Amino acid sequence: MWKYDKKLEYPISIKNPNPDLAKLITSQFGGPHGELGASLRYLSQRFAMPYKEAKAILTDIGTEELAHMEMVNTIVHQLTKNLTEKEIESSSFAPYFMDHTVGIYPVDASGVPFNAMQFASTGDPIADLMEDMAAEQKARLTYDNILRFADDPDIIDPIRFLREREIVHFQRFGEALRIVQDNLNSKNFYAFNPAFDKNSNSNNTSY
Amino acid sequence: MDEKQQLMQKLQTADFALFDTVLYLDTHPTDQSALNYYDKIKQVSESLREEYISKFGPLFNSDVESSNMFSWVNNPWPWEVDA
Repeated sequence: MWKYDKKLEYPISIKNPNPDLAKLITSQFGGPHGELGASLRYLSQRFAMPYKEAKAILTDIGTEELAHMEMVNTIVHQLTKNLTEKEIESSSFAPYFMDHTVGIYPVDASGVPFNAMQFASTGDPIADLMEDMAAEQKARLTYDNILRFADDPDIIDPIRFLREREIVHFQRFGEALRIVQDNLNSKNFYAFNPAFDKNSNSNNTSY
Repeated sequence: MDEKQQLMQKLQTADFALFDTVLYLDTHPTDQSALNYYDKIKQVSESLREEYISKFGPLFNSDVESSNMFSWVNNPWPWEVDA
């Protein structure tokens, strides 16, 4: 089970609202490369993971992604606080405001609501970890694109922190994939599913 | 039920009592009798948790006693049947 820690993973204090940037950054909550999909993808994939080191990394990164979701939501919340109706109406944030006011709701940058397809949990540890490495790169490039448009150091600083975490996660998932592949049977050239096809592991003992 | 399972069940019971009290206190933050119960059950939970960790390993990833192995990764994980 989970317990809530009443603090952000990294401090966020944004002084100047910016509804246009909020509309873009919210994609890292509800978009295709966002933290909602990331956290629930890794926490769901754990159940098909045969190796203890990889169970641990999926648990711990999945948990950190929940903290990143809170950070992204904090940024969007602070960027949309204390706006006048006039400021909202003249911004690209107005269509979001129509349905959600300044509440937090998972959509991508174009306003498309979150899609559970992004959980991408296949029951095959090799496919899942390849997916996870790609997902970390996609999240990293989205933070890169946010940084192209952000000029406020109050925003740039926590976004850079989040970007760096994607790089660390990519590295750890690469190591987890190596652990899984090192355990494959040497005759398993086609990388059959080591969670389901038991003969695909090098030793047929339990994990 | 072996000792590990018994101790886990006691901890789950105490933690559930604590958690349910927290929900009540969220909406009644000045209820003195609930606050007294919170103090009591929190101590029960903490001592059961300490005992479990020292005998059977970490429950949080910050519970690992320093050694030559990061026992946090060890099987079984909560969704697995403890054979």
